[in-house]
Amino acid sequence: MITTEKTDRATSPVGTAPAGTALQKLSPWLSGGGFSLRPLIEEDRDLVLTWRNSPAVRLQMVQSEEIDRPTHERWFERQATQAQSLHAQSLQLMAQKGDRPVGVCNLMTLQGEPLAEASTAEMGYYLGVDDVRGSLLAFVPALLTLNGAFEGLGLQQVQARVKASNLAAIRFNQTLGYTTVESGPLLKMVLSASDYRQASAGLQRLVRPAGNQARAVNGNMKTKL
Amino acid sequence: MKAENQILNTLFTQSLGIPSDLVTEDLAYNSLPQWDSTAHLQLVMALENHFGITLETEDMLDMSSVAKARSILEKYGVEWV
Repeated sequence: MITTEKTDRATSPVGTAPAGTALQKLSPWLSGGGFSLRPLIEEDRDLVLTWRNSPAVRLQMVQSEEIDRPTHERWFERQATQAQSLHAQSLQLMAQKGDRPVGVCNLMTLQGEPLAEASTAEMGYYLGVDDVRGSLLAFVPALLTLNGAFEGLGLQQVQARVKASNLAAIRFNQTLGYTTVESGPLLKMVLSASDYRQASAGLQRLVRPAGNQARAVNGNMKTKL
Repeated sequence: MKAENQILNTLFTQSLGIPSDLVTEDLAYNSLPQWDSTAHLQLVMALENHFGITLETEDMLDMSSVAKARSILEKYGVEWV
């Protein structure tokens, strides 16, 4: 079990999610390290399209063609209604650093089953802002999503599809514990709950409240006050 | 804890996967494609393992150059010889 502190339900960044939904199960895990994740809201509509069509994001996507506005509008409407549904098969979450949107994480089932009842899901993640994309902080939204996926939703495995040319994403995923199970132009990478817990143990401090960190000075562990 | 200057060069070289002659005091985060977020994390872990320390998150994020890494490690009791 990951020992990162869960968000107090009353202060969850997603507000009140309907009982039994994937969002409700995820919500205690969706904030930490100065970041939070929340469902998409109307104000995200244009921003997400801009990010999704930016070369830095689009060229690393499995579907790398530009998304036209009507297609985006239809997709956005579906995502907005899914978040509150017991039968949601996917969940799009806006990552914020403080109050500033910085990227999108998503979870999606592979066989059409509700995310709230699934044992396996595919995760996608992109950052829309350069200062977080190029920083160690890039791990924080991924950690929050995966903590929620394994500890909140109880998934047994998370999968990712990554272009073989996207070496940065492959290394990023490997650091989180993913292993490649299918090669080719598009890699299939999988992450079990146990591999994630082991690989991320040293990273969880990035999502802990600052006051809970400890450091060793000359070999002696001292709790930071 | 006393540490030779050269060890910092070695840990940077290994973590970032770059030739040792690129590791200068001025080498800065994101100045090379190899020093990205994942390499930065690997560097942090290599430094922690070698020196037996656990860096605070703010120090991990603040480690933006070789010179900065050196000064941060000094806060954790590392003396360069």
